[in-house]
Amino acid sequence: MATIRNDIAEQAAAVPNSPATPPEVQRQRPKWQRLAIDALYPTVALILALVAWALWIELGSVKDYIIPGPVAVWTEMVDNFSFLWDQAQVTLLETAIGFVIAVAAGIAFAILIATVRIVEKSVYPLLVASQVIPKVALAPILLIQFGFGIASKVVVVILIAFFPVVVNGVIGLQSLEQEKMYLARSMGASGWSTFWRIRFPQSLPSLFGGIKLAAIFAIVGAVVGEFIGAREGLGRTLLQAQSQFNTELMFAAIGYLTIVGILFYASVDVIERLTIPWHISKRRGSISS
Amino acid sequence: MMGSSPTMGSDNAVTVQFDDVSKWYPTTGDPVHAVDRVNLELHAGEFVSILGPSGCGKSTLMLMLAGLVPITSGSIRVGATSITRPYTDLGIVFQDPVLLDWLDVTGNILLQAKMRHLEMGYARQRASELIELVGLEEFETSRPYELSGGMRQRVAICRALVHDPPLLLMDEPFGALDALTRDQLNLDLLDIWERNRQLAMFVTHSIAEAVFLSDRVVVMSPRPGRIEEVIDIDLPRPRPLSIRETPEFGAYASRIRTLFSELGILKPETVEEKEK
Repeated sequence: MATIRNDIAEQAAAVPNSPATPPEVQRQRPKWQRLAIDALYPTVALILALVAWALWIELGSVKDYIIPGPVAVWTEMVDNFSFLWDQAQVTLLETAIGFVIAVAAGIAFAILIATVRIVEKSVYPLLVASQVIPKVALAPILLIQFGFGIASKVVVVILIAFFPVVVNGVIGLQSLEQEKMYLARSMGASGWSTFWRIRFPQSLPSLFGGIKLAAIFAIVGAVVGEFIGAREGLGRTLLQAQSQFNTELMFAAIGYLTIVGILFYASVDVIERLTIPWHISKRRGSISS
Repeated sequence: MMGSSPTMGSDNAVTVQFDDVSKWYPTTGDPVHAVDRVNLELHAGEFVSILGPSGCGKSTLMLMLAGLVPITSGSIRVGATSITRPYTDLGIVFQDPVLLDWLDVTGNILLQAKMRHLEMGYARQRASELIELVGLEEFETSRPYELSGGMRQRVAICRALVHDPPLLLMDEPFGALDALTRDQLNLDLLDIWERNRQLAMFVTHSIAEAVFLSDRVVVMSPRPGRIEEVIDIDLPRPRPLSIRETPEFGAYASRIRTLFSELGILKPETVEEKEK
């Protein structure tokens, strides 16, 4: 092996004009600087959008009691912070409980479907077919079953967030290349160790895709559940404000829902980074020759 | 389940016997005849290449030997064992390195030992020996996506050898690599193999690679795959890359090329282009 590499090195050294010192090449910016620059673009775009919104309300024919300007919405959000933040916590709690149950149940079902053939053959088609039922339409029934408290909302969240976890989990678990199966069998590996050492970790990127979808669906579920009937929560606040034609409060509630959504999604994203760092780095681009 | 006892330090004197081995793959139409009545004996400690064009059933032959694909008729024996289910007293290298993204280089190599419930202290030591042998010392803690294609395949070779199997199977392991890397890996492979001389079966479609590596080259024809000729390669070892420029080497390569021409696999006017 040394021969070839030395040959290449010698050839390179033999090139007459090859510089002994590297020429002035601009250094790559440090990572934090690149991240800051990356963040700058959407920030500027957002500010421009807000300005456009403000100008539209200010100069246009839209009445500000139909659509309030961004400053009015911001003022409303700040003035009503303690009330709206309490409501946000209720919605966040419903979302989180439902989401955690949906993910746990989803993973369990995915494993069952992917490993037990009869379950895959019998239950999985029914599960997929059941997805044509609009879960939102079940909410009024769930309200009767589980009442106006937090439970009915949690159940709506579970129903809506469960499916993407199962489907992506099953896809991940079933996408094992033939050669990996051959490899495991040639090692005399048991089904159990093949599953835990190869199949399950391999399925995690796909599973997390489903979990992130579930995180977004979960908030939708909680808000819709509150629309149908609730005593507390941002969805409830939104409906109340609507009945009073208080558009500023409605927009403020949506503002808080957005914050809840970002917090929730970001924490799932962090968990993903901690769980499958190898996949995140791989996605960033691999070096290969 | 363990198909056979752990093989650390077991003797290398294993032989393989193919008896009238045929393979039909079921399809919705007529079954496809992949391998036709192969009779072949592989001797202890020899390096044998199975050489043929795509679709000649050479990979199928290897997978049947490993017990990973069922034999339609005939029988394969490794030593005294008749192959009826996955045979585990071996190491396999596939065309794709089949590394696990979440394990580093050492972890990928030790997967073999973990799956076999081997004594990890010894396995670790053996793994670092092999890593040094293939020149990956600086990459022990690198993940597969940080390695080049050639480095990944080196890891796969280490993984196939960490438990010191008496039988080493390779299915076009360097087929996806560029020519320079391929030459280097051929050298590295011979270097490692010559230390232990386990029975090695190497599937390839490169005439030069087969002649360079092997003690014997089994030439196969396609559809259905059958053995056309078995050629003894009587070149001294260790073999430097320059051996490929010797007249003896050229004679072997030319003989195989002529054989492929006669079989209609190489058309005379395209011979020069296709031969690598």
